[in-house]
Amino acid sequence: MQLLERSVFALSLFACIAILASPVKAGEAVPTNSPRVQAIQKAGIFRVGVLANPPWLVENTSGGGDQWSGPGWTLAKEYARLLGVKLQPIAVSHETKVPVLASNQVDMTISPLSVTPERLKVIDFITYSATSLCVFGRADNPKVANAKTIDDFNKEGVIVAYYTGGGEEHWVKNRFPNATLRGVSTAGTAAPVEEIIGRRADVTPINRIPWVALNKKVKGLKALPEGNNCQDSKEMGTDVGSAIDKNQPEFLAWLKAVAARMQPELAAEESRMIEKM
Amino acid sequence: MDLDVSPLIDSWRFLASGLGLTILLSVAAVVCSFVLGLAVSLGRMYGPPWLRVLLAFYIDSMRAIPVFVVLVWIYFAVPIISGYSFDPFWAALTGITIHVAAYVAEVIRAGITSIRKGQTQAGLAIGMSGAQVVRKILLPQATVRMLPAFGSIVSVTIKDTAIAAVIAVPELMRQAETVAGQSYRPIEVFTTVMVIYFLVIFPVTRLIDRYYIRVAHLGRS
Repeated sequence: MQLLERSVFALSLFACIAILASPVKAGEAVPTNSPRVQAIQKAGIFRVGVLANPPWLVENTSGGGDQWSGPGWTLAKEYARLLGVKLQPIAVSHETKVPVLASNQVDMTISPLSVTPERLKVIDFITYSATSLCVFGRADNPKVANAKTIDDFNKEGVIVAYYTGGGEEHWVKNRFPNATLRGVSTAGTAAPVEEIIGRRADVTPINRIPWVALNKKVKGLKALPEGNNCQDSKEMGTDVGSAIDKNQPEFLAWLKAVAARMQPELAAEESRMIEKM
Repeated sequence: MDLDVSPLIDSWRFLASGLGLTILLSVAAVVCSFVLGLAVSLGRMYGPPWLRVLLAFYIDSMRAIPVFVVLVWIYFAVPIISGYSFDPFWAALTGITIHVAAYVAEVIRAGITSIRKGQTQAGLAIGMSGAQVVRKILLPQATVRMLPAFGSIVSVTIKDTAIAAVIAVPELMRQAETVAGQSYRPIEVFTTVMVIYFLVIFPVTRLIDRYYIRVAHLGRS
């Protein structure tokens, strides 16, 4: 009898320790009534759409080590761990990173997406970061060299390039109604740098975070707003995060709860990735 | 101009893996499209009337629709219609195959019809079946005549694989976009990729041309 009582006590103690040690909080319990979660657990894999976009999702092209890193990947790994399934990265492109959700080719896109009104109509976001825009051009271009504010580009004779379908498209069309706009297809970079270097456009927007790396690697460019290397820009302040298809409320709530809990870790990782850029 | 090739040196294995997949996809697409194209061509030439109409429609459709559109449709529409999710590689292979096979079918049809009818009549007259005439008389001669056109089709097929980057097949172009995007060195990266494509395609087309010169006499009738 004493042995039985001791066993029950030990088991109860163990269960308490396990619950306290587990990083899962209330609201983070894996939803059992979500069709998506059921499908993921049945398949045993959590499919995530991946497309490199530093600093949030970085692809290792050196041929050795982990293929993916960054806050977006860290968050995805946590989701897979909590669901008890394997994480499977599925390559997507800029053209397919949103449509793959509706066609059920991935469970979530972790290629970082800016929140825009157009995207909100078709997908739901799990945001974990925020950013804003800079506008850059060649420093030897008089239109850029003489500009003091971004408003100086909103005039006839200035050509503004942007990625069609990108998060900045809506902002460009509203911000520069008087300039000539030049929509281009993405070539994989954070901004159509080739349009600027090739002098087919005067300026183009870029997320302020990849601007830091671009400015280090490509000489002869100038960005606005000036000051602190454009990091204080308030242009198109937007949230950034991962995305899932619409109409999955239980799944979305759970994903957001986990992201909220991991926010400090994700912010710290983002800072580390920016320093390495 | 400030050039920096270090991203290429650091990522050579990554780009090499893309090149490997480009070659794999190209070879698979060439083989599959030639097999399908042969079947379509023979069906169009010797099949029942209803089949000829169907295959003619298929050929004209594929020649009227850009391969990019075909790829995207297969990648997005088929999963929604069928519920079956296509891996990007198989979607690309399927799209390129059914697109290129239409051109192959027309080249084969042109090659077969270029053989003088007397050869067919002679074969039938000595008791060969229709299938034997096609297999033993027409196709061997027609194949030689079709070689230059086949060389062009092989070259176009290899180049078409670069379009697969849009549906995220990790072939050379897609890998190059990733390296360019993370290194901000598009000029160095894409110039290198252009040279690589040239080094792959140029010898293939030259080889086919030289082989044709050696065997051209066998195609005379």
